[in-house]
Amino acid sequence: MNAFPPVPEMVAAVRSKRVAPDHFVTESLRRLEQHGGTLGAVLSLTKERAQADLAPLSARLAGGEDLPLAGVPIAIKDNICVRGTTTTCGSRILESYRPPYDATAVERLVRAGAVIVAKTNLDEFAMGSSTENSAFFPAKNPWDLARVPGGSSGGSASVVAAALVPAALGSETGGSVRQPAAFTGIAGLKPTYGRVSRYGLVAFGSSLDQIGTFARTAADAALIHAVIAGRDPRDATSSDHPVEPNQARSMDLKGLRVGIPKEGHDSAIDARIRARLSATQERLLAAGAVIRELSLPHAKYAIPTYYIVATAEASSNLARHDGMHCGVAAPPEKDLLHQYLRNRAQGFGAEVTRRILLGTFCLSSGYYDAYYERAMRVRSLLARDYRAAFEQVDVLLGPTTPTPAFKHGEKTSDPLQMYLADVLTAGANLAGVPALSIRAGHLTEGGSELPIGLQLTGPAWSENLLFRVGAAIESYWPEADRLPPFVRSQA
Amino acid sequence: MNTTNWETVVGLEVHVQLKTKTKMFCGCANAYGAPPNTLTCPVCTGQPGALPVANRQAFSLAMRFGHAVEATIARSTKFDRKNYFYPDLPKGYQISQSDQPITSGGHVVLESGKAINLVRAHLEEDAGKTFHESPGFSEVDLNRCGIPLLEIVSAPDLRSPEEAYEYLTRLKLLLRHLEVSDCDMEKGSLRCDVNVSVRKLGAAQFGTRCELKNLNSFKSVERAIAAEALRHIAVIESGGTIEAETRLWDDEKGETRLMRKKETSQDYRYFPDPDLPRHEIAEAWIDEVRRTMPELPEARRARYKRDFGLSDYDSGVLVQDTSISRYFEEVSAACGDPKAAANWISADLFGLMNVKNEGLLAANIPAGRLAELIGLVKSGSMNVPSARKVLGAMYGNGRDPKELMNELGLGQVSDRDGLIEIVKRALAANPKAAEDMKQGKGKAAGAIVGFVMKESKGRANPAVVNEILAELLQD
Amino acid sequence: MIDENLVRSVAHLARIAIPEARVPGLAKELAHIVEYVDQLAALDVQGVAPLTHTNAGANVYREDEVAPSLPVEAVMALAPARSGNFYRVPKVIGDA
Ligand SMILES: [Mg+2]
Ligand SMILES: [Zn+2]
Repeated sequence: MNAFPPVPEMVAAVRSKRVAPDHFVTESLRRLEQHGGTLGAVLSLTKERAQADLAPLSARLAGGEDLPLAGVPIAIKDNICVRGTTTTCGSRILESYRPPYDATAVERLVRAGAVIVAKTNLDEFAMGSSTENSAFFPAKNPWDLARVPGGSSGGSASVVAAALVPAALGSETGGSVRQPAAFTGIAGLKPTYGRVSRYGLVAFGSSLDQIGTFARTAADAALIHAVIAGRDPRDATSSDHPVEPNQARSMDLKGLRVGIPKEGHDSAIDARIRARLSATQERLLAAGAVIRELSLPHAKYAIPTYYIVATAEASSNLARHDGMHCGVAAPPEKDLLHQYLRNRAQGFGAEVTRRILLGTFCLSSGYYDAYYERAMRVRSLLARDYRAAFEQVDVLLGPTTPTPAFKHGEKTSDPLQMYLADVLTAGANLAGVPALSIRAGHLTEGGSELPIGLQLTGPAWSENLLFRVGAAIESYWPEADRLPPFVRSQA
Repeated sequence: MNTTNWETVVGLEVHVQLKTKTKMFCGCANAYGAPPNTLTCPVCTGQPGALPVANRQAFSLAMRFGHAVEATIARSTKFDRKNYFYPDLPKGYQISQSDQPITSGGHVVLESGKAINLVRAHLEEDAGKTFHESPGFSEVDLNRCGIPLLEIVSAPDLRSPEEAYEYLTRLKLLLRHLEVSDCDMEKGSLRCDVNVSVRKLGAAQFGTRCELKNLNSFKSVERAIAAEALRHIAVIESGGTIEAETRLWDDEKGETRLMRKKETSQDYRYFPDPDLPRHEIAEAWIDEVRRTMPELPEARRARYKRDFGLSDYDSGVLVQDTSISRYFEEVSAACGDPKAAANWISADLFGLMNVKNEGLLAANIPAGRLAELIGLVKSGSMNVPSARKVLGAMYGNGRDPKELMNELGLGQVSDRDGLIEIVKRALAANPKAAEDMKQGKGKAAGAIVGFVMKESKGRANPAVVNEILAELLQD
Repeated sequence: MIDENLVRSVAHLARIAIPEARVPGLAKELAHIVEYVDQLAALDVQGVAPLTHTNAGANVYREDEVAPSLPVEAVMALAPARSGNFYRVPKVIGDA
């Protein structure tokens, strides 16, 4: 099995009628059907919806419509609404929920000619870093099926890394796109807060959530991102900051100021990952970039801050999942109070319950000031750190994760250990700045080749710069183009 | 029980639905009476993933109210989430304003000149409607869910049930006038929670207060306050203490009863809604709202008295409602006679509307048509009793009064030739009266004219009849 | 600070039934997490404004124009229990 061609080539083939409009979609659906189960990555195939969106495609092309993603199959994390298909959020409480509307990002993809082929597995309500918290089954890493693909967007990362689809949408609250992108060796963007509409993304931490893009390369991710970005009148927090035309090519790095936060070279980070970071720094230097070491003094507070802010907002956001107006209800109880208690106890898994309780505590009377309010103030300090850094440098470079993909069950017994998987990513969500994880080759562990991810962080609205620098770094590690062994062995 | 040395202290929280076209945070229609759950969308049914966007007009209306009561309008405000579970609240939280209300302060002045201070007014969204009629379960309709509300909180400045009643009446008049709200308690567009306590006259401290719910009219508010104050006095005078409670008013029994104790105060976990960016309200917007304010009722009433010479009564009635004032002004401009317009509207048209218990809309008489009717009377084409009949026939359909006058044969007979015959017959039939009139006894005319009116079925033009009479008697 | 009673009261606020046997374990897990996040208490945040909206402009409004509502069947089809075109819920008496 080969990887799909780069997205621009797929689109060109469809537009020039070298292949039928359904060519890549049919191939993707076949692959998903065959391998999605092995990877635990797919919650549902959206064949009917795909057919419905494919049907008018020829006519639209013939009518001269500009369809930048014509015929490109795309998988969608199952916490993003696709009208008429189940959108479970990996939770029992939404097991059979079929939203009556499309998320804006989905609507824009379909308008651009893309075709939705699958809804992908995730940690329940995107709460987790391994996709082991799915209420249905855990997802697997195509590079080593005994390992996690990261999370919470593990299903989307897994299907892109295994070349079952060329691209997918995920969502981030504290690293849920970048961390799985790093664990599976693909590109994953967390956009600037407000860059992509959240309308139709089932809320977790509203002030942190963003829909992100997975693709094999930064260039492909840039194409998808350009389609979904931009102001949406249905999301008051989406920005009208202009969307620059997509520039998905690598750039001349001469004079580019690259900051290396010293946190990236912390001894808690796997030595092999640190070595890859150093090697990358050298390549950048050789290409004419200016490397500057710096520090984000409040970075070490990112995780505690994140867990207060995200869980507090989640405790309110998840109140609507009560089995009264949509979703799944428990069998009838004796009164309203018990119906609420039972619907929600039965509907939510252990991690979601834990976070709702933590968040409820952080907002409750007597604790609000010490927890939620204080965390929001620390958040200001963290955002200030980033602003100060971007006065000195154009982008920041560091590892995406402290370790390569870990094994299933390795961190499930200690919630706090799992939380620390986001230690290098949560800062960008708190500050609202964009960050892109890109593949930077592999390391070998226990006989498995495991991908290494590096992340570029930039000031607000600098996605295009990140894509272009990312494309340059990708070119330093060309062996990373190889597919996971699981895929290579398939027909 | 001696109540004379006790003082009743009342504060009111009034929720009014704003008169916008759409809901507070989505584009569903803000309308009453639609079939259940037909005015809903992903936003107002709390579908996973849906997001709110604030209605601009709701801000304008809240500011309009703020100007009218001389409140301070927030230059910077935000929305917060009030978290609690209830089946009429599908998101599990109500979007409201906790610490930065759109307006602060202000006052409503009573007839006596006493100012009732306002604490604040804030924007929020209404909840859905729950029906309890079915045995064993309740039913929820979310059409009302998300309708913009302004919650107007008074200071505990009211000192009697009557003051509370007057405050509500004035607030309602004002809000209707400003076209901020319909304030129709029957349709739920005005709802009122009442806080009542009592204290010994001259005491500095307030007593423990109880909150009253289930108040369906201003009269029931007045009665409930009176009953609750008496209950407080009775409990205290018999050595007991009042506990903070929420109590339900039973309109039939005329008493309040316990709903829940207040000691377990709810923890709403308010926090700023991350889905809604702040609102920095520009001076220019505040000024624009001020410039485009409808004239306030008292100012308008004074103008009607001064410029049109209307009576206290007529001017009072005509400023009850902006739509009525506007109608009156249109009619009077079209017929050129404000006094006549005021009479026809306040006496005759309102009479018909009262009988049917309907509003101007149902009456369906365009201002131009009523002005024509008045014109027909002034030009002598029809007398007043006939015009009243025509008005009755126009009611509900707005037909052309002239056409109706002809159809119903109510046109005034001014044609001399026809009338001369009738007058001659009248003189012949009343020789005594005719003789008296010749002697200059004016009173005798009554019998003659009465005869003419009877013969002409009330349509004879009295002016013409008098002319003819004078001519005939001179001969 | 997080003890079993606090777990019970917070769970009630959040309307999630917690089996009594699970309460001690949850109290321990939450206490562990709270102890970890308590490191923020050491920071001086005097005079630092809370960051509630990143990159947010202000003043985002909808114009007051009616947009189509959903067909009632599309909404009611999602209801776990319905009574005609009403949501059907357990008897509501006073507060929930
Ligand atoms: Mg309220
Ligand atoms: Zn709606």
